[in-house]
Amino acid sequence: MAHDLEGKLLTLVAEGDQGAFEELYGLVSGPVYGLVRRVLRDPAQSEEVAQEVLLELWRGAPRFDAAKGSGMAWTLTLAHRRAVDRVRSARAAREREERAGRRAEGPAFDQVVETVEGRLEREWVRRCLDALTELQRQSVTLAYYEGFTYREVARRLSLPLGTVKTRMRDGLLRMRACLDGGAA
Amino acid sequence: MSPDRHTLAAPYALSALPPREERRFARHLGRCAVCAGEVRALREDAVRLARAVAVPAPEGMRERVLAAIRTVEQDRPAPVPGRRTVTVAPRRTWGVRLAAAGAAFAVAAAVLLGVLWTRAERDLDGRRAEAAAVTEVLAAPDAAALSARGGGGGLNAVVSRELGRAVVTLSGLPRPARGRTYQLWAMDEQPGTIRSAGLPEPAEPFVASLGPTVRTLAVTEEPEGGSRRPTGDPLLQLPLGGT
Repeated sequence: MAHDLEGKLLTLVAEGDQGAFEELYGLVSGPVYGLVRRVLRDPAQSEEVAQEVLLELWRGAPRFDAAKGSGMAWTLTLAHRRAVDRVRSARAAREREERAGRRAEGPAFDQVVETVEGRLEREWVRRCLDALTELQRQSVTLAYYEGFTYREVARRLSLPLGTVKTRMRDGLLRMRACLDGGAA
Repeated sequence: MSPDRHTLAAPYALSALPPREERRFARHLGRCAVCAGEVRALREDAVRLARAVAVPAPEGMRERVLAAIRTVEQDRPAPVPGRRTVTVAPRRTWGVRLAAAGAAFAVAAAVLLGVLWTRAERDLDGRRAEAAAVTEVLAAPDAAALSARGGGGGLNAVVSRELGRAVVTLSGLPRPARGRTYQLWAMDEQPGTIRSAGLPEPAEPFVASLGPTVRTLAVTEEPEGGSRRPTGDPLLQLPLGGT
């Protein structure tokens, strides 16, 4: 990767370089926290999970392999996995409560502060997602932002499994083409 | 293998596979370069979805995380085909001794070995000899860890009086300016008895010999190539105390 700063920093972090970790923190803490927050919604849990992820960057940096992808991709895959695991267990617990006839508490919603830089990125992605078909967009966002498995997505959208898998792939590829094409 | 396997790349990249399917597909990736390539690319797409919802982390998280990493050990690197990984047997004995000097330095010392064994080696023989010298000091029965902080930097040393050697690492210091170098000095109790102990590079473990009468280590910045005597005040000074 030509400009993989996060990857270069991870390689230094893997050697115990705390200064490099501080720099990495500055670059990834917003994306990590924001992603976890978007999936989990609950601020307290989000903080807890985000912290665990950032600590895991330090612990697990020796496992980062630059040949397998960028440092940011490695970091956010880790963050996303943790957030998704958490939201799925919370969801399962809520469903158990509901089945037992008890009213489950919904996730806490509150205002999330947007940053200026985030806004640009957010706008681009929003527009490119809008350019997808309804099914492509839903398949991608239900999975990525809500943490549903592709089977759950298929059930919610009343679609065959094969269709959901294809829409996910097509959606991502079209978003990629849109973002790469639109970027000045 | 079912052709269906290849269509799982997108859900996998979106973390949208149930656990068992995820494990199975992860194994498949190890055998399918096409799928691995797809996943790699799709994960970069997912990065953009993530960046679109980035939010600054709350106050206080940075301090908590930075404090935590000082006491958390890093994992051993995963074995990579073609790369040599060596386990050092004496680890347990000196690990206990080093813990007395503080958890932070114990972690740094443990990572030291990781650095030496896994870094890409240009000068293989030189590196191997250097690594062996470092290991020898760390594994010495009387190895003691000491560190000094100052001016944003640190001078860390693992000292073995029996071997008459110390592994020294400079941390937190910037790269010296062009034409300059850091120099390590070994000072006896009697003032004026000071001798150069070498030219360490920042963050590189460096083996220095220690005469039996040496009581203090110090670091100054000198012209490239070093000086006979220090030309300025020490940036860092480490009394060798009880060793």
